[in-house]
Amino acid sequence: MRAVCRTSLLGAVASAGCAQPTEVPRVAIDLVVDSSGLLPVTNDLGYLVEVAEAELVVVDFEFARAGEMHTRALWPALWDAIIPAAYAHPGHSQEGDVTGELLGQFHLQWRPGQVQRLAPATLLVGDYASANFTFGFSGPEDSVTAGREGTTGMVRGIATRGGRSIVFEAVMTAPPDRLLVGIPFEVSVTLEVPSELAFRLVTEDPLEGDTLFDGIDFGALDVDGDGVLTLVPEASEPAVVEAAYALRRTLMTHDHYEILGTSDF
Amino acid sequence: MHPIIRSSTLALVSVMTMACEAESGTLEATAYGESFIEDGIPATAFADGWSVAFDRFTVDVSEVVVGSTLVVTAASVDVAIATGGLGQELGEVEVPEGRHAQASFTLQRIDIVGTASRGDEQRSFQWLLEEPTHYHGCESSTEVRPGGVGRFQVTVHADHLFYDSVAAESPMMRFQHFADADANGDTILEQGELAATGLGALDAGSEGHVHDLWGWLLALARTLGHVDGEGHCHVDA
Repeated sequence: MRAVCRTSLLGAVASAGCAQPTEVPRVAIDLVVDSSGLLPVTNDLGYLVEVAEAELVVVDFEFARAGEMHTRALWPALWDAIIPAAYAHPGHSQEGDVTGELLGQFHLQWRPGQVQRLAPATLLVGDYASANFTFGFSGPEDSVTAGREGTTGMVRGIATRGGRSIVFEAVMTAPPDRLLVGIPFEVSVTLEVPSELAFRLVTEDPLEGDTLFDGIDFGALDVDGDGVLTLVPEASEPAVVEAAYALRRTLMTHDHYEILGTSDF
Repeated sequence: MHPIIRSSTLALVSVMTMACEAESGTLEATAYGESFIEDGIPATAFADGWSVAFDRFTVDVSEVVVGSTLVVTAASVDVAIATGGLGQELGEVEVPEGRHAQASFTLQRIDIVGTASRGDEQRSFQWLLEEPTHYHGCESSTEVRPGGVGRFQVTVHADHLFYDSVAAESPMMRFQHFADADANGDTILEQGELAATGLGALDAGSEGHVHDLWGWLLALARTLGHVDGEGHCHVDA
């Protein structure tokens, strides 16, 4: 793990009134990379996809008390819209009061059966709704991404359909300063609970049922039939390029991430 | 009634009436596509060297409310017609003097006809965007002076149609992804061709839910509506 943590003080929230201002208590809770969301899934084209490992470089987690997920909960019928309750301008869709944070760049690694501890996040006590982070880029010192400097994430696994298996590796690079907003984080934070926050990459969207790999026809993309597929934007086959970008887009939505409050680890 | 009293009363009523008349003005609503629609979008604005000219950019606008006043019920104007910066008039109404803050409106339908060019390459398009978008809570404050005219403007930002991201604060403008969707090579970009084309490197944002270029175009069309130039609004589904 490479975790370059910075310390930061959250702005104090005080109640204005005739009485003395009261500062909202804050707590430090460990953020843990939880691999339990990497379940085998069958995508919309009938491939059983098993993820062996996934990595992601992220910068600066933020935790918000209200925001997009609040809107989602109130108006589920509207959620299918493309830009719900957002400013009518690209890049203006972030909402919610950020009252928690974990600053720094982190190289997250999900491997089935493993848990990766990051660092304590600082949160004000309250009811949370969503979380955000910015996609980062691997540096030369990242041992796991050696040879892939400057990339954001990677997913490796195997896809099987009709007795044919294809081992795949997908590498994605996010646009600069790409903020991901609206990760589900519906947790009540008190002075006592939760003891840890589990950050999960989930292969199946728990709300909509779509998978991380929908639309990817692994067999058709393996044009040389060697059973090995590399999904990168630099590929020579246009269909492979499109599939690499499709997976990148999915990884850049909040549908396949969640943060749970737990004391299980 | 005594004649003197009667005339005094009439005079008072008259003065009061004049005072009331002087306390109102006209609030005029216009729609303006800025130079990008009236004159076209030059190649220097695009990251990939294309330029775009619009032959028609008709917007059907409804329910224009400024402050608490309904100014326009429905109007349809072609904002590609040059107006020298004035915009196309949607309607006007008498309102009390003062500041009329916040606004809302709906873009019911947008009919776009245009041509994109780069060197010898050319693509034409005729896109009918029929998904209404309601804009509300718009950052606007229109001042109406007694007897004067205050102007509220629905500003249409056509450059947003060519953004390469709905997540970036400063997206680039590109046309190549549309040009590449011309599957039958007739240089006309049809809705079916866009619907059959993936998004490639375009960034559909944290919400996603867009999977083809026609959906992408509809998503970006929802960001066209602004007020008084750069004033932002909220949008509903």
